[in-house]
Amino acid sequence: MATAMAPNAEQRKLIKASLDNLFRMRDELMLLDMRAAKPEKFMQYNKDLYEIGIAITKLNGDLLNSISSEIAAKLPEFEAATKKVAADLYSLRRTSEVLNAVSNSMATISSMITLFK
Amino acid sequence: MTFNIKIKMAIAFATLSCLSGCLSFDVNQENDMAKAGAVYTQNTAALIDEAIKSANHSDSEAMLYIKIPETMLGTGEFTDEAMKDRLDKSDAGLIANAEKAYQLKASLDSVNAYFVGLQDLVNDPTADRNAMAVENLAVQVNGMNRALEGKNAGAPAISQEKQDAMVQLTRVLSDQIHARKVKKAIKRDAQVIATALYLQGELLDWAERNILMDLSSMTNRFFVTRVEVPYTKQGDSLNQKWVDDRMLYLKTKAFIQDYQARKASRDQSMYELDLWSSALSGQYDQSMISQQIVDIRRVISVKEDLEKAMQEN
Repeated sequence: MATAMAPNAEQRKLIKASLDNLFRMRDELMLLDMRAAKPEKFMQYNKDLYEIGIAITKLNGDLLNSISSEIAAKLPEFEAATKKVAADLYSLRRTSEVLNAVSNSMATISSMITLFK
Repeated sequence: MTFNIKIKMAIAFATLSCLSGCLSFDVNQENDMAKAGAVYTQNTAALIDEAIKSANHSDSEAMLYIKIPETMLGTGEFTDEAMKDRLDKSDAGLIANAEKAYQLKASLDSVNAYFVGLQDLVNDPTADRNAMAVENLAVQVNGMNRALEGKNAGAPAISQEKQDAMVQLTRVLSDQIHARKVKKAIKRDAQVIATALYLQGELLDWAERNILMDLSSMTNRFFVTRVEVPYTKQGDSLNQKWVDDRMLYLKTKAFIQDYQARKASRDQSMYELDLWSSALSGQYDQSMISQQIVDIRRVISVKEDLEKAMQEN
């Protein structure tokens, strides 16, 4: 997307591709019948599966950090937009508030005129 | 009232009726968009919890899958100390990610607040409120006039016809001002909100990836332990339950493959065709957004079926 395709977005594409590869590797390893593996092979599978898990966690963290830093940088803009919408709503309500205030004042004045007559 | 004035009033009413009909406040699109934005944000927040759970679950599933036999424990890389270090390292990463994801979930509140505000702005009963205020004002003007003139007061200062015309005019003008304000707000904020939704989409993509991965890992473990091993061993576990398990496995595997293909085409549309920007510029199709949420919910439901089957003996 043109607006948000900062360097972070490109970086995230690479992380996602690496994550998908690791997911596939883990999937393939988890299709093997470990009970049939010889001890050395089993130890290797075990190590591989563990390291893949650590790498997945690391890349998930990188992905979250990348999104997080971008959101943090944009947060003031999001909040400012929310404030502007609130101000728009307030200005819409202001018209009737002013009219009602005038009406109320007139009602009070009318009562006073009647009282002093 | 003379005949001439009556004709003028009739023309004024006719003009106002036409104005209110021709220039009615059409905010359906804006309303749909504000609602869709809020729903998207709220669903993303809910799915983050599920993604954290899935990331932790798939990591644990892998550990369980390659459980070290007792005969190998205590030697080489499998000493108690080494195993403890392994677990600590894995836990630290998963906890850090969960913390980060929760922080991101909290930051979605800011995006949600915008859409809630936009909904309030779109649905604000401006015209009704202003019309009522003008009507009240007219009543008060007449009341004050009566109070000032007392017994000498004649016809009301503002006649009923004039009052109705003023109320109608206020309604039409308020509608126009309201509509302009909503459209201006959306145009003004389009860039900021498109960015917010894009980043939220990235977060949802992360969640979807992890939830789907967990389902895929579970399916593979289910296949090996509940389908493949019983079949190769041809023992007692090859029974009617095995038939059910195999059917569930085949169904789930087909679901995952179909899902991955659809996700790839959806990603292409959503992230490269700049869906939200086009949405905000008025060419909006929210079906794709809601489809993504529906799809992820389906993955969760399939996962639950598989979990349930795993727990059955």
